[in-house]
Amino acid sequence: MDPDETSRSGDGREPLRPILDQWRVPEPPREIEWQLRRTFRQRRRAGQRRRQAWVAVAASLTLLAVFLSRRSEDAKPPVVAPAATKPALLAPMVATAEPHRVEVPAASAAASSPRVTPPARAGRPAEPEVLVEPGQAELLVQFARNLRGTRQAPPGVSMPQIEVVGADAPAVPIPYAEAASVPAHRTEWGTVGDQWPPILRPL
Amino acid sequence: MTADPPTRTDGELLGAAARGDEEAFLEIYRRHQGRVYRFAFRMTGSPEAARDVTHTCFASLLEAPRRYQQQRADLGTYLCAAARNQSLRQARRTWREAAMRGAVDLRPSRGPSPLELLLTEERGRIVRDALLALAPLHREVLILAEYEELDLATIAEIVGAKVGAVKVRLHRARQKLRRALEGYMTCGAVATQART
Repeated sequence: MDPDETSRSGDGREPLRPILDQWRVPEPPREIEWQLRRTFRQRRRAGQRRRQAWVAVAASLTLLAVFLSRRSEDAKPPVVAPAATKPALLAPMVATAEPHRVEVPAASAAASSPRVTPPARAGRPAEPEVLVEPGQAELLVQFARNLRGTRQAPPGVSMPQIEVVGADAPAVPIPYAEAASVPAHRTEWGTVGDQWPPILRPL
Repeated sequence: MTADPPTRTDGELLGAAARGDEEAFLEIYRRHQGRVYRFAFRMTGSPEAARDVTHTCFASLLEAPRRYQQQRADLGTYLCAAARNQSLRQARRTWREAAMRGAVDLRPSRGPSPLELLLTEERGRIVRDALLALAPLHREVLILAEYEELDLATIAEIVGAKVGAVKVRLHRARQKLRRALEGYMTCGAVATQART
């Protein structure tokens, strides 16, 4: 296309350009450039703020996901003991499940005190030893079982029957215990001298 | 002899501006401000409106840079098209208001105007009024063809019409303008002859 075609009048008459040139247009004011500079900086700041907000949201979501995944791992049920719904009572449950761990002093073992040794659990610090009187180990086992609500007695363990009497009940004389009816380990224990308080020691 | 620094293309400047380079954006503005402002000024007839239109056009590059497609047209054409759209909104309103006011008095002033400066201003006012009296679709093609000296294909790209339609509009715009300025052209010729 001929570029001069646009500047010609097209109808053979006098061209309009000399007349049109009498309307002169001033140069664009510097104010536009300042306004555009300001607009550019505002938009750049807004973009940076938007980017920071997105980063913060992404970081928050990541932390939330990590927290939820860890929580779901902790909430998984343990493999053993389906009756153990309370984790705090797990330790006595394990202790009664293995009654042979309750060490009762034998008649020949005169040098050592009777004690209940809790089973060692991996990953937990050793619990302090509990010293009990002879024959109280079974009571402790039953007490722990009552706490958990289980009534099943472990095989081979006889539970002593405890008779509950009122405060106004008549006094019942304690029957004399024959030496043969006293447990074997009782015969080798007794008070020493006239100490106060009396201390049971192996004879 | 020092070599000139390589000038960056409009596309490169746009990319740099999108990455936050302020000077690149202002370089784009300095390249194209003249044509956009002149076109907006002649379309609206108001320096305030021309300033607003120019600002809006270049700010649109920041808001929606993807609207400009390099393969379709160069940046100058795109900005002219944006200025045209913005100007038309104002020009249509102004044209409607002018039509409601009645015909524009395009006769040269009868009063004495001894000073050449005043005469020049008077001529400019008459030409401006004659241009603003044209319909916006005629005015835009006339401005782009006569003042900006763009070819018909580029004008067609800017106004979003076919080349044939642009030719027709341009022809009618010239006819109307010539009719409107008929008396002035005669007087101007007389005045020119008198000065010589």
